[in-house]
Amino acid sequence: MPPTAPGIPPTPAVAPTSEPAEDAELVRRAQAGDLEAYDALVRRYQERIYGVVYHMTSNHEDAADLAQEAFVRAYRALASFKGDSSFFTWLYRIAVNQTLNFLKQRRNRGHLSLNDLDFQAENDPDIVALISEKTPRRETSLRELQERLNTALQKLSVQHRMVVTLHDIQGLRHEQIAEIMNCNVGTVRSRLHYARQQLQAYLADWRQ
Amino acid sequence: MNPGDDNFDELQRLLGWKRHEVPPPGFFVTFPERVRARLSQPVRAPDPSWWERLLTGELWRPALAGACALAAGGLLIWQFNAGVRPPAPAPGLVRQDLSAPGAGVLSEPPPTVFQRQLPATLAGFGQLSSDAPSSMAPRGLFAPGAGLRGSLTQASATGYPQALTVTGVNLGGPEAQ
Repeated sequence: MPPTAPGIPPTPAVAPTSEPAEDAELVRRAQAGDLEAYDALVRRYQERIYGVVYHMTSNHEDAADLAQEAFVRAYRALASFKGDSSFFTWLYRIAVNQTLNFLKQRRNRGHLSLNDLDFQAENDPDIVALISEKTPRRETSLRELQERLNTALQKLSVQHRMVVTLHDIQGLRHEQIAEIMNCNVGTVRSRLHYARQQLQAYLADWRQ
Repeated sequence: MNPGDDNFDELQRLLGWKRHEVPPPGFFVTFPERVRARLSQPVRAPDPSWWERLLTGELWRPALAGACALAAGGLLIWQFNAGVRPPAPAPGLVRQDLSAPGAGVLSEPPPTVFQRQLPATLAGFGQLSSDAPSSMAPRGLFAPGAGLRGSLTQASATGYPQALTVTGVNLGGPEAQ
């Protein structure tokens, strides 16, 4: 598996430190019809929106379409955005709902179309520690690990997968996830715990 | 990984590794342009619901067209059947002198089976109207003296009479009986 060309940063590990004032100004201009301002918002959030959809679908083509659709829908609904929540949360909610609807309509589990790993993946200390040093071909092992992990995630229900994606992969806080998924924090915590237990069970034999 | 273990550190590290999965190079460079291209396209109207389609006639128009076609077809078939039926003598075209002996009496009564088998509209086919107004019978329609011998001689297998002769019919000529 060839590593991705340098220069492409991985999806941010933590929730964006969004600047509400800047977002609010860009949103106000976009609401007035300034497409340049909306472009700036797209550039700011495209990786995170694409990331959440990709980790939910494990399919690059679906993720590209859904992320694009999410931004288009958000723009067309921009007039209804009153600023009660942050633009980031509002946009995430659109993308999450759209992805959940897509996954509910997709009856059978879609095929995996996984992205390549970036050049930092092989040097990630956490992964290096996880992968056996005795593995003769590390590249094969990395690819296998990626497929096992994505397959295990796809076995989760969409609600549990979403919580794991938003918390453990994208680094959002429980409160943010609760706001995005329109549920309370307790539900988020319980879903997260259950989803992790399920994943542990699915991946139990990985190192055996 | 121990499935019964609630220590998820190892799992979280593994999940964090998914952040290294990145789309093809250049994807995020062109992504805003693709969004913008989509925004410049006209908004496609959402598919109308069933009641909107009902209101606009999208649902009942084909049904109406089908019903019209069916009615037209039925009318054609009915007309075709009516054209096949032999024309009944118009009432009044033949005047009958009921005072003459034997007038209006069928020489041979039609078979009752024939009458029963006739449709309702044809039930009175073999009977001649005796009270037709004389003014309706055009005088001199046939040669004077020519009389028709009235008898329903035979009914065909299809139930329709093959020949009809009327005894003692006065056609209105000066030499008529």
